[in-house]
Amino acid sequence: MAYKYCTATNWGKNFFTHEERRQFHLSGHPGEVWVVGDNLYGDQWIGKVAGAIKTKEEAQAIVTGEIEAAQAAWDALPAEEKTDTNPRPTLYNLP
Amino acid sequence: MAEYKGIKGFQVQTRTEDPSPTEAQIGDFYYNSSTGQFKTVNNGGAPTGAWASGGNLNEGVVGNAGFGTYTAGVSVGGFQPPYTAQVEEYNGSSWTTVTSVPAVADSMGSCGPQTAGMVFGGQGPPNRNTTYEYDGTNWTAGGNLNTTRRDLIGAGTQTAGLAACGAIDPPFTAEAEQYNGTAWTTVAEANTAARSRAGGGTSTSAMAYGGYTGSPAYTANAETWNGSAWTEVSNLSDVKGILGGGGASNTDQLAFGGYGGSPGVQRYTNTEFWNGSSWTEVNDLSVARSTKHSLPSAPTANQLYAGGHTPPANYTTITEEWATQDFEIKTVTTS
Repeated sequence: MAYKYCTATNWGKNFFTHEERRQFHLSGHPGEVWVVGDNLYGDQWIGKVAGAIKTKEEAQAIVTGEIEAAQAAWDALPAEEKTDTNPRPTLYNLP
Repeated sequence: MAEYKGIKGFQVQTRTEDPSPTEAQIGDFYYNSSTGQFKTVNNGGAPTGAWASGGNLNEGVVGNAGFGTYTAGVSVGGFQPPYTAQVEEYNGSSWTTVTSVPAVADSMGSCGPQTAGMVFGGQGPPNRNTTYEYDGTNWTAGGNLNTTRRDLIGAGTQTAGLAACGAIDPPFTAEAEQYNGTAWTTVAEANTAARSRAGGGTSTSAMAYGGYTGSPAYTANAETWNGSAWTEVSNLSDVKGILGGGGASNTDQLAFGGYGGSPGVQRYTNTEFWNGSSWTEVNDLSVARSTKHSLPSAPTANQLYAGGHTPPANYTTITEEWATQDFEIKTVTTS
């Protein structure tokens, strides 16, 4: 599946609708990065939310930067806050 | 060249536009002359469901309890940090901060509609056995749980409720209790002692699934409750806990989001529907996250997932609304 990448701020209600979710792939990531299915409906959604188009590499760099910042913050936590439900954030690759 | 009419004795119905289907039209086959496509009218339900963005919570939170419906929902307490007593009500578009629950608490069990719901157990810390009943405006103390615990599931209503599983620190518990509007009575234990499960239904027809057992970590286990006994059924497809879930009964459940792996390494967008005999993967959440918020007593046609941890572990305000379609019009293709 082909994707496009953008950044956009989730304003809440109707940022994406049920109908849009049935029409194209959409997943949200750190740094307000959105991975969008590459079809007409996905393009229309990017326009609707005034998404700033990124290359995959640019989008990945934003996500990685956000996670690395969170890792640094986690490393600074006291030991009692490093619980099994609050693990160190891990880097991952966008699809 | 033979015509369809000549073979079958009637013509395929031609429509200039798709209908707004009724139940009587399920199974209809027609030709849409505007689009040049053959189409069928099918049953709707969970396979046609999708998540849409809802209004954002006023405060980011994880471990918040939920009850009500997706147009009249409630989010109660949680961890922001710190632990909070904050309550927000949802009207289908936006969240409004309302009367706080009497004590700060995280990871409570919950059930019921917005104007007759309740929360029970949880942690301040320490763990609690308290029950608080909500009438849509005010909170009133109810009967105490027999087993003090946090991270438990809830089902049913304010006058016929169910609590099951959870953490009593240590260990985890499988104990279940039923509520009659005044007092909790211990009933048959679930098969799997775990915290951070999801589930819902009624006090006599419910489910519990997923969770953290500590041995080794998260579980995909699922079990049904029929009012007198728990029965192991097919597992979730993912090993996870701290997920959302709810439904009308032990034959109608939707499980979504969560945190886990073995050992726990990721948060999930996965959404699965239980029809009484098997789990089916349906459309995913848009944002992977983990919290226990959901609508335990609401049918799977509509659910709500508000707040949660997201990679990298923020306390988010994100809300997503699940809705299915009653009917689905599908285009007939040859491949």
